[in-house]
Parts: sequence; C-alpha cells; structure tokens
Amino acid sequence: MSLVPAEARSVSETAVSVSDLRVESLTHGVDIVADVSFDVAKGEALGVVGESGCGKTTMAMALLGYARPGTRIAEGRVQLGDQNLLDARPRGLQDARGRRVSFVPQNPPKALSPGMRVGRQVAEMLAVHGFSEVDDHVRAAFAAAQLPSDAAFLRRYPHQLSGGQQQRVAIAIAFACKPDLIVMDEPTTGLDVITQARLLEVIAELRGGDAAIVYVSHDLGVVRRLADRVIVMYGGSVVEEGSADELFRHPRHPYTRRLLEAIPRVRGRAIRPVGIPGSAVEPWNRPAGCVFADRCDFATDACRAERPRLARTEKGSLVRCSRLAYVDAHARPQAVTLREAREDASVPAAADVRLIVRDLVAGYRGRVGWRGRTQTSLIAVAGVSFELAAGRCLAVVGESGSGKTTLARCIAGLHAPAAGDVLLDGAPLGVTSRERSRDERRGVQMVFQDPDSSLNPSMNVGQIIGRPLRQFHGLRGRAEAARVGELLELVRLPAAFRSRAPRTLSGGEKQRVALARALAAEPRVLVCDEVTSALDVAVQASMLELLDDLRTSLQMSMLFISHDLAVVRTISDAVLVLESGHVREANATEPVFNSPSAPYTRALLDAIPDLRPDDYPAEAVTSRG
Amino acid sequence: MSAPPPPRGWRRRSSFSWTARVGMVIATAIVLVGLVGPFFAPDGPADTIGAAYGNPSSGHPFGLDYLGRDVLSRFLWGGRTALVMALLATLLGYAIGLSIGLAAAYSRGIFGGLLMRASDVLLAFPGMIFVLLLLSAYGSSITLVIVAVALANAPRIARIVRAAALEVVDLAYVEAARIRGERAWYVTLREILPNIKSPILVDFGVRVTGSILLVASVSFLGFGLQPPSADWGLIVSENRAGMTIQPWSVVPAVAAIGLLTVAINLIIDGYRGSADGIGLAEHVARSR
Amino acid sequence: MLRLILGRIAAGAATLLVASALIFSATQLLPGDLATATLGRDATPAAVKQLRQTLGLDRPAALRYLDWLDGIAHLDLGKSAVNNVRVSSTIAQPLRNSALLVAVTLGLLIPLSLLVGTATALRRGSWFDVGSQLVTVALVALPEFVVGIVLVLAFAIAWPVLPAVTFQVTATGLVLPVATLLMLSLAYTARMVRAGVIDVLSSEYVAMARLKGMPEHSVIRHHVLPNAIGPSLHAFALTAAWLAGGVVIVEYLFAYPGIGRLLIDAVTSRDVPMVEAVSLILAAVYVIGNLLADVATILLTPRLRTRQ
Repeated sequence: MSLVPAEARSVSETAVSVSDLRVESLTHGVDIVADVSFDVAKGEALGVVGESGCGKTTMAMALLGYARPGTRIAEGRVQLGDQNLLDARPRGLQDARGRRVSFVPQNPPKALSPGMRVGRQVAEMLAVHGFSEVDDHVRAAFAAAQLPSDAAFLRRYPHQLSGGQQQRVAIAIAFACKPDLIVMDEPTTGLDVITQARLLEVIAELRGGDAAIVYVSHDLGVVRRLADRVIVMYGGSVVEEGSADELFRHPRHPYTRRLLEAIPRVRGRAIRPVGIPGSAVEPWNRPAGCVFADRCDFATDACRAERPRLARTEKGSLVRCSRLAYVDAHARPQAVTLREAREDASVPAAADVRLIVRDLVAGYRGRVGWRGRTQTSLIAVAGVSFELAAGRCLAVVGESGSGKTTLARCIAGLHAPAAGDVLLDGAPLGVTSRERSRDERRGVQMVFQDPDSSLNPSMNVGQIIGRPLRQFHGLRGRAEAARVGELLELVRLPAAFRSRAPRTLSGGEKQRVALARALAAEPRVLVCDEVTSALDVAVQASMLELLDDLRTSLQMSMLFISHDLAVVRTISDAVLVLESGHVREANATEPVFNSPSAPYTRALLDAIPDLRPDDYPAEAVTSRG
Repeated sequence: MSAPPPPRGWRRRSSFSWTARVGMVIATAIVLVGLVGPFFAPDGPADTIGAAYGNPSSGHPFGLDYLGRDVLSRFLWGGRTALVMALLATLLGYAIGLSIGLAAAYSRGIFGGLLMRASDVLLAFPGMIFVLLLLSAYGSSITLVIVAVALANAPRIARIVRAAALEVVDLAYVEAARIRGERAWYVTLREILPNIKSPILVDFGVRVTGSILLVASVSFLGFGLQPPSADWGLIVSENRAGMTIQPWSVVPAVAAIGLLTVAINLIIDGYRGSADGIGLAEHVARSR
Repeated sequence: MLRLILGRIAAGAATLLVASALIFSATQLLPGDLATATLGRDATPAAVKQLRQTLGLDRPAALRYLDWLDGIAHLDLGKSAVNNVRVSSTIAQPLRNSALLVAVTLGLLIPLSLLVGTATALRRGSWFDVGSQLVTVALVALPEFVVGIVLVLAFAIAWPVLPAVTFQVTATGLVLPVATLLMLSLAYTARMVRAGVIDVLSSEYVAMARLKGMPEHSVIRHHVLPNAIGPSLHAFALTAAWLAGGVVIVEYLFAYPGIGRLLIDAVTSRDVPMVEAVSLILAAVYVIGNLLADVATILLTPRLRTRQ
C-alpha cells in the first residue's frame, strides 16, 4: 500500500512507484531492506542518502528487479508504467532493463567488460533492444556524455580510458536507450573533485525531458546539488522523505538532524561537525522497535518497543518518528562555530616551531608502464617547505598524485627523500626510520588511511597498543596494562576492548586503536594520512572531534593529510595546497577558504558540491563561549 | 560490532567441510597403518612362504608376491619408511623455503630479487628430474632422497611464502612497525608470519602430498629403497610384471598411496580457514 | 610490456644456462667417472688414466663444461658411455615418440578442460558439478603410477581390451599412456578453468551486462568466455611444462619407447652423457612451458606496477 495519497500526483506523471519493498539476506535470514515505498515523478531527481550498511545500494538494484548474490527480493512492487518489474517474467525483465530502466554503477573500472571495446558495449545493448541505425545512436550517446565520438575512441578498451572517461561511458550506456528511469549508485566514488564536478555537469545536462533519476549517495553535498526530493535511509528503511529544500533546511527526524550536523562545510560559516554516538547497526542486530533508538537523544522505552510508522507532516514530508512533536520542540543543534582564534594562527613564534621541512624533493625510481611507455623516475614531491608549530595542526591538501602521501611518508621515515631537510625541534631527522634514534622515532608517529589494514589481525588490542609501550618506555606487566587502559580512555574506547581482536571492531573503532597505538609513543608530531577518508560521515565527525581535543590537551603537533577540503577546514590551523608536488598555496585556514589566492585552489573550491549556507544547522548554531 | 550469526540452516560451522573430515579420517587411518603396521604383520618382510605369485588364501588374503612372500605382511611393513621420509623432506624443504621466501619478501629490492632468482634456478626442473639427477650422481640412499625432495620443494615453497608475505608487507600495520623502528626479525616473525598462516597451511598439505608422491614414485622407479626392503612404491614396481597372474600383489600398496594422497587433498580442499577461501587449484597454480 | 617479455625470455635463457651447469656438475661429481664406468671396477689405474686422456677427462671441469655447451650448439651431444653410439642419434626416435605422446595429450586436454570447466562453472552446485569436483580433487592428488596401474588393472587385466605395455607406438598402444597423462592433467586444468569462469561470473561487469538487459546466452558468449580464457592459458602452459616430468613415470610404467624411459635407463646404467642430454632437454621444455605461462599472464594484464 503506497503512502503517497492519490491526489498528490496523477498516475501518468509518475515514472516509477515503489511499494513495500523488502529484500532479505538468504545467508542470514534477516531483512536488508524493509518497508520501503516512494514515488518518483517524471523528470524528477530523487536523492537517496544514508551511511554504509543502510541498504541503499541493495534497494537501488532492486529497482531493476536485481537481487545481489545471496539476497532475495521478498516482497513489494516496482511499478514502471504498466509493468511491475518484480513480477515480470525473465523475458520481460530483460526487455525493461536498459530500455526502460537503466543503472549507473559505482565502480567504473570494474563495471566495464575488460575484453570488449567501449563502443561495442553500448552498441550491443542498443541492438538487443531493437534499435536500428545503432552506430548513429552510439555516437550520439558518447557525444551527449561529453566523450569523443570518433571511430578510434569507440574502438578503445576500457583500460585505455581514464577513470572519469570510464564513468562517462557507463553514463552513456545508461542514457543511450532514453529510459524512463535511471538509477545511479554513487557514480562519483573514487573520482577526484574536479572530475567529479565535470561528471555532475554531464548528468545535469543529460537530465532533460521525462527521465526520472534516482541518485544514491552518501555524499550529501552532491545530493544537494542534484536532487529535487530526498529520501534518508537508516537501518534498511526510510526515516525521512521530503523536498530537497525542506529536508536540508528543516530536517525533522533525529537522525537526519544529526547527519546534517556531522557534515563539514566548505562555504559559509565554519562549523565544527558533531558525530553520532554509537555506530550503525548491522542487519542482524536491528532492534524490534525504532532502528535509531539506541543512538537517539530522545528515545523512550516506547520507541524501543514498537516500530514507528511513516507519518506525513504539515509541510508534506514523511517522517518515521513517534516523538516528532517533542523532538521539534526540544532539539538543539550541537554543532558550534569554530574558534575565531584560528584566523591568526599562520605565523608561529620562532621558539614554538616543532617541525621544519625545507626544500623536500622525493620521488620513485621504477618502471611505470602505461601502454608500453616506460618512465624511469617519477617526482612526487618537487620542493616543499613549511613550518609546523607546537600544538598546531597543518593540513596538506591535494588530489591523488599531488605528492601529499609521499610527503607524509618522508616525514614519518618510510621513504627516503632525494633532497631537502626535515628538522624536528631543530635537529635534523634521519632520512628513514632505520637511521633515526629511538627518540626521533618516538617523536614522529603516523596513523593510516585504511582501518582494515591498520591493525595486526593476529594480535589483540592490548598487545597492539602494548608493543610501543614496551619498546619506547620499557613498560611491562601491570604498568603496561595500566597505561593501555589510560590510552583506551584517551581515545574514548571502553577498557574492555583490550582483549578484542581487530576483526570484531568497526572501522571507527579500529582507527581509534591505531590512534592509541601512535599516541603510546607520546609523539611530538602526529602524521594523519587520510585517516577519516574511509569512515562514514558520522564516524568521521567523531574522529575529528577526538583529534582536535587531543591536539589541544596534549599540545601535540599534527600534520593532517587529506583530499577533502571540508574536513580540512574543520580541523586545521593552516593549510598547504599541493598540486603535482608543488605548493600552490600556503596560508592560515580561513583565508584559504574565504579568499584563496591561487587559481588551483579556487578551482578546487568551486568544484566541491556543498550544502547551502542556509541549510541546517546554520541559523541555530551558537558560538562557543 | 559483533560477528554475524551462523547462516540459516547450518549447524555449527567448522573450518573444514564434510569432505575434509572424511579425508582426515582416511588419512589418519592410512598413516596409522604405515606407522604401526609392522607390529601387526603376520610374517616378516623377507619371509618366503610359498611359490611366487601364489593366489590369495585364508592365511594370506592378498596372496604371495613375486618372490613368494606374503603380500599383506610386506604391505604392513612397507609404509613406515616412505611416510617418514616424506615428512622429513617436507619439513626440511619448509625450513629452507620459508626462510628464503620471508627474506625475499621483506627485503624486496635487489637482494630479494637475487634471492628468488637463485632459488628459481632449481625450478628449472620438474621435481622428478631434479631428484633423478642427484640420484644418478650420488647413487641412491635414504638421506639423499630426503635432501633431494626437500631441495625440489624449497623453491616452490619460497614462491608461495613470498607471494603471501608480499600481500602483507605493504599493509599499514607493518609500516607502523617500521616507523617504530622494529627489527627485521620481529617484523618477520610477529607481524608477517602469523598473518600468512592460512596459505601456508594449505601449501603444507600440498607439499606433503607432493613429497609422498615423489618418494613413492622414486621408489617405484627403483631408485629409492632397494630390494629386499619393503616399501610401497617398490612393492608396486616389483610385482608389476605379474599383474596379469596375481593382480592382488599390487593392490594394497597402490590403494594405500592413492587413498592417502587423495585424503590429504580432500583436507586441503575442504579447509575453509582462509578468509578468501582460496581453493586448491588457485594455490597450486601459484606455486608451480 | 615488450621489455618485460624480453626480460622474462632472457631470464628463462639464463635459468636454462645455470641449469645446464647444475646438470653438468651433478653428473660430473661422480665418485668414479666416465672412464672407470666404462672400464669397470677391475680396471688398472694406468688403463683408467689412459682412457681419461683419450676422452679428455683430465682437463679442468670448466673447460669440459664449455666443450659440452659448444657441442650442444652444434647439436652434438656426445657419445653414450654404454654403447658408444652418438647420443643425438639415439635420442631422435624416442624424442619423437614422447613428443607424439605429449601432443596427443595436449590436443585432447585443451578442448576437454574448456568444456568440463565451463560446464561445471555454469552449473555450479549441481550434482554434475559436485561430482566432478570430487573426482578432480581425487585425481589431482594421485601419483602418476597409481593412476597408470589402476588403468592397467581395469583395462588390461580385469577387462582385457588394451595392452599393458607399449613396445611399439601404435594407436591402441597410445591409449593407456595418454589416458593416464590426460586424467591427471585434466583434473588440474578443468579446475583452473572452472575457477576462472566462476570468478568472471561473479564480476561486476557481468552483473552490469545483465543489468543492461543482455540475454544470458549473449552474456556468456561475449562477456564471460572471452575474459575467462586468459587465466586458463596460464594453466595450459604450466601443464605442458609439467608433462616434461610426467612422461618419465608413465613411459617407464608402460615401457613406452620415449625419452623418459631413456632417462631412467641412462640413470640406471650411469650413462652420463645420456643423462645430461635428456635432463637438459626436459629442463628446456619445462622452462619454456613456464615461460609461456608467464608471457600469457603478462599479455593479459595490462596494468604494470611500480616498485619503490
């Protein structure tokens, strides 16, 4: 039973109507997606947002009647015009896929058949759906996706294209038959900011006429740019649905509010994002009542006992919360404006300088083969200099290939630079960790990007944190155990975690353990290499809070490497913008964001899709006293 | 975050499939027969009972062999040496191969490359040819067969170990150890080795099978234990000529070798301990 | 990429060269040597010394090695220590026989493994698949002689339709040796093909093809098979290499007149030049087979990685 009242829109205006969709996992016997219903009008773009594990990709694929391996579409309707895709016979389903509803996948390199030329991958689909003059249509599709449409390009294989081009081929495939509905699953994942902006332009241009779009993403900035209406998913169900403007300015559901508060902003006022306590719940652990209850500030026992139903608000949104009136009256945003003090932190006093990098040059010697061409050396860092004061955070920002990771590795002692100096508290550091003294090694520690490979799987948390304690401080036995407990508390993890194995921890928890391990050495400089890039927005916000607090309380200097400018803005005092190994801009944080001097920085900032300045929680935010 | 519940409809999920457990039973049985067989043999391995190729009778269920000895007794006496030789050869091969593989993976660069090239030279020969070569030079002896089989195994083990270690050596936790300045032995033994247990266990099973195969084949060709010793491979070879008259003379030995190698293979194939569920075929491919 | 392939070929040649040195030193380290072997145990020291000089065995090992290599370059492999006939002429016919055996085996192997491997992958989980999996797991493990003996027991003794030994290379004589080699290698290659096809079937691009509305038979023909063949080539090349060793046992078992059996006889009679020559040939086949496998992998992986 669809919850959209009959009078809201007439049937002929609806591109697709989804009712009571439920997808269950065959291996675990639980629902991945449950009770999902929505309509998309012709020409409308519906954004589907949620964090990892909320079921949005599963739901997206179900719109084509496709059940991922190990799952089964248990019930529901996907009504596309006169056809219910979930009821269709195989022939009917094949017919509809590609022609009436199409899909843009998440991972472009893996989604294109490696052994087939790109032109043919579009052509075969057109042929199967009965198009004549296939070649003309193929060329038109490529041109519309802003790709070259000459014969030579069409004859290329996928691996001969860049990531952005591959994704545009996928888009060409999706739009070629001019379907009624196009489902896009995080199509800009893995692309750098400028390529992503270009892709969004292509999508915006291709949207014309009657085609409806369902755009699945965890990136709310992108959804804000593209979507007319938005659905928020959590724990396999829809928790809020409304027009984009309404939802982003006046979110009603507690989760939506907290989600918007967790997002760092590039434009407008600098707000410190706030994380959501706890972590996302897996399908097999979902409680009987409201899925969000355990992390909600307003949950009561009634919430935990019974699952709320979607109810319509006076503004026309749908919200799944039984305490909506109370929440409206009492919810206050917890995000605060960043300290104004950050604006004049650019020039530290000489005595305070902890880390000096002078004219650092680093590269790789090796054979990089790309279509037979070989290079014998690659310069990643082409002369970088900066100073980092005690207790301050310097962010190094750049796209992939900018040299920021190489720079971090040189400072940490994992990579030998070809030229230049690195000085810690005035004394030159040995080029690699092997050549550094124990004190020097203690002085610089690093936390890495991928939580899954950060911790030794064959050790437990206590052993992982204990090792540097033994090595650098000679602690054993009870002293070691006590210190492990202190460190766990410092990173806001329960003491009981010491006996846990890494594979039982969530991504955010693993990163905290990695952080505790780095802190065990009591470093003077902490290098954070994209430490939040693999984390969900809410978990990322918690991690950033933690890092910032630790920096001030421990007076530790931090070098924060990231490609995400929004994140950088919330945590750093000063910013270094790198491109192809060169420093394009170096300044205190706010000036870089409000009045960038380098064209590259400006291009980057312009390319980032961001929330609007008046989106929640803009008005209600107070300054920290 | 907790682990997912067992999949619906399954009993407690063990690391081994049912085929693997069947294999374990069979393998244990045959190994036992090989090791303690001599205590149960009705006759000695050299006792001549009757005429050559005598037919099976109540006292001698498998008949007599080409020299008139009891087939069953010789079979029970014939497993011990081969099994012990195969095991020793595998262990020795591992001692060498593990060291080379780990060293090559950890040091990489030129030294690592040279090390692997050096061990790869031995890979120029199929195992059998290499063993035969050494035997033709030095004559056959038990020690030599063990050493030869070990040397034939070592480079293949080194390859597998190196491949597995390379997947781990670039991971963040190993780099964190390097930043701390941990010594090479610590990193190798405590950060790398425990995390490549899975592929190594699978490989160990493959090697043991391979060693049994080689040792038995070498004996079959007549270069292993010499007559009148009792050895399964040798028994098959000796009684081959009389197969048309008295086929049972070869049956127990052939069956034992065959069942043992198959059983070990079932164990490996059914081992689901590795996270990526790497199958036997994949594994063997990487090691050749 | 071309540089990488040439590099592999160079490495292969270097390996073979070092292998030849190994072969040479192994055989030349005999406690006795060619002279004592020829004259027998009761020879007088003077006679032995005389023969050594005649045969050139008193020259330093390194020079003798170079002589040997020089001989190989001219296709002169020396003379047999047993009957003083030129090795190259003795080897010729057995080499052809073995080549025939390997060729027939490979000729049957490749289409059969493609067929079985693809069929079991497409019908994964069915009785056909589970049954063939069990059979192949068993076969992959067995020693060559076990399979051979079992086949002989079955088809030459219990049900006597085929000869147990093959003194002459005839069609019926080939059946059991080929069958033995085939069963062993088919188990391996069929499993590899199956693994490759399964891998491709679960790939994102196959899912994508289905989401485009392509009918299943088209997906299999144009998206699955072309991408699954590649890894299989690797397996076939490796099998060809493995056969270099496999023929030894099988030929011995069936008394097939090939170079494998020649090698065994040579080792038994301590016929050093023969052992050297045959070992070198088999090593060369093995190296070339592995090389082809490596080249196949390179050709099919367009990405190449940088090393720090």
